[in-house]
Amino acid sequence: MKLNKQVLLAIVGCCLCISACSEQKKTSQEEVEVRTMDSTSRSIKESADKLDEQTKKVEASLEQLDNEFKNP
Amino acid sequence: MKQKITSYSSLFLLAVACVLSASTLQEKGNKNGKGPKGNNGKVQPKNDHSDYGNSPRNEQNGKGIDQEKNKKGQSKPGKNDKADRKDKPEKEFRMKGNHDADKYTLLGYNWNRDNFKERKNFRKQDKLTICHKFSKGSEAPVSIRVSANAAEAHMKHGDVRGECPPVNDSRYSDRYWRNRNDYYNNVQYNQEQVLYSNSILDYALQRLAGSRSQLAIMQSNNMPLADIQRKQAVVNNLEQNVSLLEQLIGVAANLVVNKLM
Repeated sequence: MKLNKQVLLAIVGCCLCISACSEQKKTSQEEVEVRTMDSTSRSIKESADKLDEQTKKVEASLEQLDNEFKNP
Repeated sequence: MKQKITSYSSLFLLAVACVLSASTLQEKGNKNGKGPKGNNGKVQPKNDHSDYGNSPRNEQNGKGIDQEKNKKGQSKPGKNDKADRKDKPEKEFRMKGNHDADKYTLLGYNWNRDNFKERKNFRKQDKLTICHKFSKGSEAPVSIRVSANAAEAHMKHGDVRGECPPVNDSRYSDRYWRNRNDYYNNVQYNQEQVLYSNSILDYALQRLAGSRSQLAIMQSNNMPLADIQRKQAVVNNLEQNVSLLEQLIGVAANLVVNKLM
């Protein structure tokens, strides 16, 4: 009887342990995805900002060109 | 007898425990497969090549910056350039990254010397919130802010105005969904920037071709050397900036290719 109870407790303990571990795995998986999204998002935004900056330079050059070459 | 019963019951309980843990792990495994482009937690772009990096000038005229560069030192511009542009007054931009190979006309981004001065008014467009739906049914829709030009194209392909309904998905936390929204908003912002920059690039190339021809004519007409040198410096400066812009457009376009599909 005692042995039976011990076995039962051990099995229940194992079940709890396994479900806790899988819950932790889920959280860490989401964490990885969030971090990846964040870093990709930052790269995309930086790229767009650089593009915006360079576009403005081209626009400024075009305005200079307009001043120099007034007749089309 | 009692020992047998004990051993059988413990074996039975052990089997139940194994089944429970296996089903839990399988459930988590299925969750990993779903979610925005979930590949072991990596948000990976597809390897498809889109026309994003190719400006419409390449498709319309069959000419690109290489030909423009080759025109250095030539006295006359390509006559075909002007003829092509007369036939096609509106620029068409192919956005494979957004929807399947559909062309749509980006009104307001067709630059000439007059409207180029007013370009800031063209760009000052109010942003609208739309609910963008992915072509993959398993991918949850996302609320993104888009300019009026872009909104029209989105609506044509099934997107709707307004915020998306909240996602009833307990597999991911609120933080995840917020980050996802931000991510796709940045993708949209990048795409719009690429489109606009492409239009400026196209216009700049037109102007470069014209300016080179004008310079050649001035040289042949024996204009003052100082004037010609000054104008040449401006043209060279524009060429350098245009070259860098083209590279940056390619990089930016590749970052977001197919991400909103």
